[in-house]
Amino acid sequence: MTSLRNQATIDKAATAELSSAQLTWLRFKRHRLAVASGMFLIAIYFVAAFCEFFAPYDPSWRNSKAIFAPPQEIHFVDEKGDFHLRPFVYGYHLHINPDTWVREYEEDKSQRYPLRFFAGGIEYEFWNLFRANRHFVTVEANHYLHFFGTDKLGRDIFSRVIYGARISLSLGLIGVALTIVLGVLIGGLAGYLGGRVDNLIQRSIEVLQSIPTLPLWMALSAALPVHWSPLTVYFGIIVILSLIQWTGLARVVRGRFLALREEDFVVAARLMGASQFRIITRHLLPSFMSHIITTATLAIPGMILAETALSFLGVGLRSPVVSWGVLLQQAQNYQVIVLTPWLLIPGVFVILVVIAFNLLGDGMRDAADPYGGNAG
Amino acid sequence: MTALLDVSNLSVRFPVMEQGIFRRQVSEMTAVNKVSFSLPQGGNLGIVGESGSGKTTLVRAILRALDPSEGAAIFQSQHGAVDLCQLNQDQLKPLRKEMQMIFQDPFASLNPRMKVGEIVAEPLVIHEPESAESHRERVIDMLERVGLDRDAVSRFPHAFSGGQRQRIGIARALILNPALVVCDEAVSALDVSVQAQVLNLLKDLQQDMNLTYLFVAHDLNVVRYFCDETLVMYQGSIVESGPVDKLFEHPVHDYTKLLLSAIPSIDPDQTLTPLDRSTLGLD
Amino acid sequence: MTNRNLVSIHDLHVAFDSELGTTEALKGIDLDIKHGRTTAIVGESGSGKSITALAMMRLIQRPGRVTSGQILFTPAGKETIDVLQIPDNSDELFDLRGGKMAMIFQEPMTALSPVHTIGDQVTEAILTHRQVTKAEAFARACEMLKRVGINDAEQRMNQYPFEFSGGMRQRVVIAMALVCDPELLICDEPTTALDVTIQAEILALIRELKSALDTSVLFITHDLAVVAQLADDVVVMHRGRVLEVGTVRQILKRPVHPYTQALLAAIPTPATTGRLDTVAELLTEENLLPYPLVTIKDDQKVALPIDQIPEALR
Repeated sequence: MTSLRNQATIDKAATAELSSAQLTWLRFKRHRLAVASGMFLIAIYFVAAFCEFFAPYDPSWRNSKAIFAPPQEIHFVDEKGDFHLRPFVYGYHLHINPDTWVREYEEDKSQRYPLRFFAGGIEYEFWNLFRANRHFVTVEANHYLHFFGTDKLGRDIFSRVIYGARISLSLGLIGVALTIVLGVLIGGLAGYLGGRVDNLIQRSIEVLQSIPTLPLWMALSAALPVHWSPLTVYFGIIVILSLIQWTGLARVVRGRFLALREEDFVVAARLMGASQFRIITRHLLPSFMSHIITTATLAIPGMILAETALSFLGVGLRSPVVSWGVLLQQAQNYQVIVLTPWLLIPGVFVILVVIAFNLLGDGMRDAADPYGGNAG
Repeated sequence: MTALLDVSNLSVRFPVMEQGIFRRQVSEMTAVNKVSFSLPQGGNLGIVGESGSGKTTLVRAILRALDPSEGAAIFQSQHGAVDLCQLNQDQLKPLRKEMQMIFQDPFASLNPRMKVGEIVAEPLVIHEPESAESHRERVIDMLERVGLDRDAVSRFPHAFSGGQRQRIGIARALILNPALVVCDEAVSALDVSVQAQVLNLLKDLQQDMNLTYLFVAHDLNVVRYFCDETLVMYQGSIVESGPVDKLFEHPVHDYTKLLLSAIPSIDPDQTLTPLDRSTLGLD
Repeated sequence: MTNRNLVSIHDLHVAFDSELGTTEALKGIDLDIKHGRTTAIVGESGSGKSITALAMMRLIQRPGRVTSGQILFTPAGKETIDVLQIPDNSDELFDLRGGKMAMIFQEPMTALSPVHTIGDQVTEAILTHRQVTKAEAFARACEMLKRVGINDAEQRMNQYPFEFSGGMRQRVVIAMALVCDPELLICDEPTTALDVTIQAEILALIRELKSALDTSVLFITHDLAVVAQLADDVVVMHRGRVLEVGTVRQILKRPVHPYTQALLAAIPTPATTGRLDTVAELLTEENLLPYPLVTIKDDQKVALPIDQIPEALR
């Protein structure tokens, strides 16, 4: 079937000076779903990075007038049928059901709160650099805005999802970065040195992988000192997750290393008298960089899910830190599903992000490896 | 003429490991068995044999891409005779510029992520880093000598056909002006027309650069055309050797006869009548 | 030759789409495969010889597609059908592929499943295309394996592909292809991956089976020496076009097209000394312009303008 491949790329002149990275990009662009996922992720990471600006409220700010309030709808047309260019929300009208004592909210059509973009609101400290009060979207000071409703303390879930994104998403990235360092280092060592070292590392990986992960996480998390600050716990959790996740990547790296070591162009470099350092940095690493990036992309959702699971179970991050897992803690009983389903909204974001990462990773894998490894 | 390379009693054995956790060595597999030959300066020695005969293992052991188990390979370097089998990789490094290899697969032997200019310059970067400013000029000169455009420098290997890639591989092997060049099935993967061009190129370069070839191939017609002498390898050992014309016209060993009888003729009126392995007592 | 045409390809075009646009892999192929003969398509990489075979088997997959043309197939005692008009996934296509036409590839390991025994795989090939009992199929498989020169076929049917050598695997693949009595056996470089002594055995086997089983053979190769040993008719292809068609003696002993002549000159033979002639030196781009095939003396066909053909042959 080689001639098929040659046929498909007969006209090589146009691609002659494109590097394989550029060719990979050309192929990636044809994966619509992967490109869309990539853009969605960029957008959501952007929002997470500037969450103080995008969230209308501080995540711990309470609206005592709206406890367990449902999401507000955005309207353009008011009850009289008049169209407003500036979208608005209605305030809540609260009444307590006399039979069940359940708080029931209705839209109070008399209170129209127009949305204001880039307007001043609650003051915040941006990245510990300067103080500001501009928000992407807000309403006037004595009004309130809850796109995703509020929780049992009257905290705005929309703001909390945005702040939670910062923790959950960055945890995925940093965790995978650490995983890559560990996986590439240990896997590379096993693949390059071979023999006894390889055998030892391989067996250790097997032992690590055979331990059920959830109890192990729980045990390790429980071992984190209680008096640690939220930030230290955050890094503690990252280290715990990476310590368990690196094994998969180490295996991939080892396998690629072993295969590449026998490739003709690597043998050629050895016969040229190239140093080990040069062979690794110039020939081996670039050849499986695309592989590592793809594997890492596919590992990020695992990280995010693991953090969510740990925090949901109460052994991961804890309040006052806001992560998606912490937010979902409130949704631990069935009452929530019946009475306040909007508390599950953070879960929707977990699902969307995980799917997007998987689609993106699939697209990258197809683009990087069109003929199963040989980028010919 | 003095021998550029003198190989005596060279053997390569691979350990056979036990399956399981503690992989102990249980036996050895002999890939090359006590091979001796001598390659004169400026000579052109062919090594033929079928897959598994050990011919590729033999040349890789001589170049020390893998370690021989015993024997000697005396190489006349610029600084006197050395036994390649006795040196460690650090001691071999300065000798590497005097012996180079051209690979079979023009797709796998070039790093797809490096530009052709970088690929051909790599031996220079490793062995003569002090003359960096002249590298580009020398690379272009070498590329032109193997029949490629100077534009090739800024392109990636995927932009070239199999034959052109093999020229890139030749340019990389020859840029340091080596004395010994090992061609490991260097034309086997090429189309007939391209194969002829590459063979011509190798012959021309041999004249110009005073090269000595160790030419591994399975195509007997190519070896007969290209080489002066040839070794026939079978199951790790040399079963017959001699000048090509004598060996092809009057083979002595049964295996050589079998090999020669299996070559299809280009003439449709000369029907192929291969000898039978079992009646020759070969398995 | 009075043999009827088993397959007749008319003006076949195949294109491949890539990131950078569309490339024509076949630029209008015309060729006939005569019943009861071995036709060889010879060409270098990029000539389109394998794509022609894949198109006949309806195996062209995205990003490739057949853009136009006809592949007329006339099985014994049946009406002529255009292979390209058979609907996808139809019984008719299933019956054609593996039933009436069978194909063997360069690398035998890819055609064999590593996790099933040889016996199961050959038996399965019979059961998918023939209404027979399992016992009958097993007996037929055993008989076929013996036919292709596998000794102790009964025992070896219980073995897995990795227990066979490369040449033996290719024999098994040939047995699998022939077990349903195909009218046409397509061999795509079946000996390229094999050692020369094994190649000689496989060539002898194909020649022997072809005459014994009354099968027509389409043989795809780059090796003119293999063509000389096996083919009755030869089609020379280059860059997606047919340049010359004739009997094996016409093509190898009296080639008319400069490309065919150059290919023959480029092969070293025991008589060759000095520099080899290369195709590039013997050929000009003008020789390769898309001239139509013209029929010359003795039914030989060549893609040249008539004034470039020696008068004795016109």
